[in-house]
Amino acid sequence: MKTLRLMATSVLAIATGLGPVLAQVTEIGAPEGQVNIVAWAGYIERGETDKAFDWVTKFEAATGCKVNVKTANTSDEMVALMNEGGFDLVTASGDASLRLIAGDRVQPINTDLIPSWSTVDERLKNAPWHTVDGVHFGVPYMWGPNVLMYNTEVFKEPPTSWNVVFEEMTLPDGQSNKGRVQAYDGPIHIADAAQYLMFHKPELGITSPYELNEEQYKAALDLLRVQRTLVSRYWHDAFIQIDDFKNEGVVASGSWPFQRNLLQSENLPISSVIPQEGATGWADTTMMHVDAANPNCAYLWMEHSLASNLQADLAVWFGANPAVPAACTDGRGMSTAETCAANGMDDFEKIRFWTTPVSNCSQGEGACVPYYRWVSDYIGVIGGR
Amino acid sequence: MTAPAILPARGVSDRLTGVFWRRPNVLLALLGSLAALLLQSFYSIDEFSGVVKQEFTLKTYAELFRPQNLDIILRTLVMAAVVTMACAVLAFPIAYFAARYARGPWKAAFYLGVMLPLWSSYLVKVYAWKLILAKEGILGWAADGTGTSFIINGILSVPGLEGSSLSTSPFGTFLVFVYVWLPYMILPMQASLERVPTSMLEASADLGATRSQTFRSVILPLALPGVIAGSIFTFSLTHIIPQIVGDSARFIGLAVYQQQGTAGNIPLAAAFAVVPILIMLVYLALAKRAGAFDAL
Amino acid sequence: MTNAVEFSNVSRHFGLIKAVDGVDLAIAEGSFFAMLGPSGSGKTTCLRLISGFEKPTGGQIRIFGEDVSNTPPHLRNVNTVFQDYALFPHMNVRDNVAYGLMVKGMGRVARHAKAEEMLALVKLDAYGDRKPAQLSGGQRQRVALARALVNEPRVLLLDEPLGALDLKLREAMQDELKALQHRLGLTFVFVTHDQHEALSMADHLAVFNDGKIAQIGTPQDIYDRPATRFVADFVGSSNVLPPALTRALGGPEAWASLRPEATRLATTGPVRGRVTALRYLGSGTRVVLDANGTEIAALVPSGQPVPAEGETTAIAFEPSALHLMAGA
Repeated sequence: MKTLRLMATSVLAIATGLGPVLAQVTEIGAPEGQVNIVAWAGYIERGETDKAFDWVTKFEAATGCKVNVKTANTSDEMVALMNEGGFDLVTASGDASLRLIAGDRVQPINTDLIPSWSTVDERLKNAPWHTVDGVHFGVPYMWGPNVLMYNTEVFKEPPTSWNVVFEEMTLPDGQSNKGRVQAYDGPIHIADAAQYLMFHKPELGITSPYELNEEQYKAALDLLRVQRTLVSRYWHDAFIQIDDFKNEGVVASGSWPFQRNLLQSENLPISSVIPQEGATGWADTTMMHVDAANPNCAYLWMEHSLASNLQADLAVWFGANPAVPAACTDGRGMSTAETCAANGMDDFEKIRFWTTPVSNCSQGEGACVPYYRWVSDYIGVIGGR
Repeated sequence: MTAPAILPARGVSDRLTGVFWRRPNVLLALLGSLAALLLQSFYSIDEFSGVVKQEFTLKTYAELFRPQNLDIILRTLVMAAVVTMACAVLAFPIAYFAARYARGPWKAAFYLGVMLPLWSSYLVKVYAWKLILAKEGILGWAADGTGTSFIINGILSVPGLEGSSLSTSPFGTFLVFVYVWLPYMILPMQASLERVPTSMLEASADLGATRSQTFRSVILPLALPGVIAGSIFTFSLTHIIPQIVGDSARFIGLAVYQQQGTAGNIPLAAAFAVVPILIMLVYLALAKRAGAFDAL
Repeated sequence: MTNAVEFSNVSRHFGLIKAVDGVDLAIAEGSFFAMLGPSGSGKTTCLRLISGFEKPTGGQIRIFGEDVSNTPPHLRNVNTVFQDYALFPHMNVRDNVAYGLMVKGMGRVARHAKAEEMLALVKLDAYGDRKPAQLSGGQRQRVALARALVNEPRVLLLDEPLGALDLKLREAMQDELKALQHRLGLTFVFVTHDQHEALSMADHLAVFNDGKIAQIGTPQDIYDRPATRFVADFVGSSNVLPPALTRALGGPEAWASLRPEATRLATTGPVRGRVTALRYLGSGTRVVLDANGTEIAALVPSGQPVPAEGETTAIAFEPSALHLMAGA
C-alpha cells in the first residue's frame, strides 16, 4: 500500500524534474557514544554466541559508539519498530525497504561519507530495493539465495530442477518423493512456483515471479496444489526444518544456506544447489532512520559494516553472501572463495530477490494479484483447497 | 458447620464481577479493546491498494465464508471439540481420584504431576513431542521394536489424518493439544469435584441411589461447571502447536496472526478473531440452557 | 415387640482408634431416641452404622430383626437428615424431595405429586420451584426432612438436626420435630451434643463416652440418677461429690451426685462453705459454695433470701437425694 504512495511521489518527482528533496548528512561529526540498530537475529554478533564470531567489540573500541541491538523476527516487525522511532539503523529486507522509503521512515545516504562504498558489489550498488530515482536509501548488507537443499545419499547427483519438490516423481533411490519433500510456509513461496512456471511454461508469459496476473497466479496456485499432496509439513522455522531433515525422512526442500551449513557441520549427508530454473532470494540493506539521534555513529557503523571483518565473518556465520566481493578473498575474515561459492556468490543472476507483490505492476495498473491475496490463497492451498 | 455446603463460596465469575465493580476501568479497558476488535472487523481491505477502508461493511464477514476460510473455522471447531472431549474423558478419573481419595503426600504428588508440565517452557514441550512423534522418533522406534507399527500406519491411513508420520499428521496435532490442555481441564474439574461435599454423595446413597445413579444425578451435574470451565480453556487453541506438529493446515489462531502480521489484512484478522468469541458465546448459552451452571 | 434398631456388641475400629467399642443398644419402635455425648464419643459413628455408611468391625446390627451388618445404605429402609442437610444445589426443592423416588424409577408425575405431599407435611407447599440456595436455614432443614421422609423409612436418622439453626428457630423446630414424630409414629434416632436438646426431645437416650455407652435410659433416669460421674458431669448441673465427702455426709465411700434443686440453704448442715458465685436464673438463684475445695451448688427458689458473696452458709438436703454412682 505504501508502494502506491511511493509511485505517486516518483511520478510527481519525474514530472517536475526534481529528485526527492530530503535532508542529507554532509559531514561526520563527533561520535555520539552509541548507535541503536534493528536487526535480524544473528546479524550483529559480539562474540557472545560463539567467540569466533565478533564484529562489534572492535568497532566500539575504535569509535566509542556502543552498539545496541533490537532483534526483529519479521519484516513487519521491523517496519513497526522503525515507525515507533528511537532507532538509528535497520537491516531491512527487500519487502520492508521500499515500505520504509515510501513511508519517509528512512533518509538518503550520502555515499561520499562512506569510503568503502566503492567496494560494494556492483550488482547491488543501485539495486531497486534501496535506490529510488538514483538516490541511495541505504548500504547493502548481505544477501542470499533460497537454495534447493537435498540429501546426498538419495541424490548421488545434485538435482537439476525444482521439479523434485513440485511434481510427483520417483527419486533416484527408487522411492516416491511423496511425504519426503518440504516447502516454505510463507505466501512468498508462490513466487517460487511462478519462477518454476516461468521456465517450464513460457506460454504463460511470466516476466517476474512477484508480478503475476490472474491467469499466471492461478497456474502457480495449481502447481502448489500438486505440491501440497507431496508435502507432509511446510517449514517456517529453520531449526524445525533441520530437525525434519534429521528425524522425519525429508530429503529435499527449498531452504537457506544457513540450514545446510548447520547440517553439514554435523557431518550429515546434506548439500544444496541452485537448479536450472534459478532461485528466489533475499537482499538486506542497512538503512538510516529519518530522525536518527546518532547519525555520526550510524555513518561510522555503515562504513564499518563494509570495511571490517563483518562481511567475511557474517557470510560464514549466516550462510549468506557479502555485499563486498573482496571480503571473499582478501582474508579479512573467515570467508574464502570456496565458502562464498558455496553460499551462491556467483549465482546472483539466477536469483530473483523477494519483493512485496502489489496490484499496480509492470503489467499495468491493477493488473497483478496483490500480496494480501497471496496470503489468504496460500492458506487455502495448505488447507487442501 | 458454619457455611452450609449448599451455599458454596461463589465462583470466579463473582469475584471477577467484584473487581469490575470496584475498578470499572478494568472493564472499560477490556471492553474497549474488544470493541476496537469488533470495529475493525466491520472495515474492509481495499482490493486494489490493500489499504484498510474505514467504512462500515459486512464484506469482511462475507470473506469468512470463502471456502478456505470456512475450512479453517471448521477445522478449528472440530479439533477443539475433539480435544475438549478427549481432555474431559482423560481428566475426569484423574480429577475424581484427586478430589475424593488423594490425601497428604498423594495430593501433593497430584498437584506436582499436573502443574509440573506447566512450569516448563511451552515451546520445549511441543518440540519434545515433535521428536517423540517423528518418523524416526521414540514412538516409531518403539513401535518398530514391538511390531506395533501397524497401529501407527493404521492411524495414518485414516482419511483426514494422513501424514508421513504422526508428527506430520493432524492426529499428532491432536495428541499434543490434548497433552498441553489436559492440566487446564483437570484443575477446574478437580476444584469443582472437591466442592461436592461427601455428605451429598451419602445423601444420594441414603435415598436409594446406586453408585452409577449417584454419578449421573449428583457428581456429574455438580462437576459440569468445572468441565465447562476447562473446555473454555481447551477451546482457545493456540497457534504455535500446529506450526510445529501437524500438516501445516491453519487453525484460527495462526490465521489471525498471519492475516494481521504478514498480510496486513487487519479487518479479516479481526473477523477471524470474532469467530471463537461467537462460538464460545453460543457454547456457553447452550451449556446454560442445558443446566450446566445450575450447580453454581 | 421387635426393636427398631438393635446393636449386639457392635464395634467400629479405625486402626487403633476404637470409635465404637462393644456397644449393646436397643431402640424400641416408635421411640424418639437421642444419642448424646461430646464430640469423638462415638455417637455419630453409631448413627452411621445404622444408616450403613460405616460397617461394623465386630458385632451385629439388626433393623426390625433383620441383620443389616453388611447391607449397603441404599438397601436399608432407613433415611437420614444430614447435619449440613446435603441438599442437591442443582435441583429445585421438588426434585430434591422426589430424588429418592426418582432413583427407584417412579414416574415424573407420580413422584412430583408425592413430593408435594411431603412438602405440605413440612409446610413448604409453595416452595417446590425454588433452589435450595433461595431458602433460609430452617426451610432447608424442612426440605431435608421431607426428602428423607419421602421414601417412607421405618427409622429416621437425624444428625445434629438443629445444630445449624439459631436459638429461637431451634426451639420452634424442637417442638415441630416432636409433633411430626408423634404424628407419623416413626422411630426417630438423633445425634446431639446438646444435653438440653436431648433431654427435652427424646423419650429415651444413650450417653456416649469413649466409644461406649455410659448410660441408657429415660431423660428422667439420666438426669436424676446419673450412672457415672461422667454422665452427671456431662448431662446436668448436678453436684458431683467425691467419695470422702459422701462419707462425711453419712453415705458409703463412693462418688455421688446431688441435684442443686434438692438442696436448701440452712444455718447449720452437713456441708458448710463460703459463697463464691451467684447466678440468677429467673426461677431461682444458683448459689455456689466452696466446701473445703469442693464446689457445691444449691438452688434458692425465687422469693427466698439469698446470701451475699463471701458469706459463709450451710446446705441441707434429704438423705435420699444423695445418688450414689459407679465408676471413678
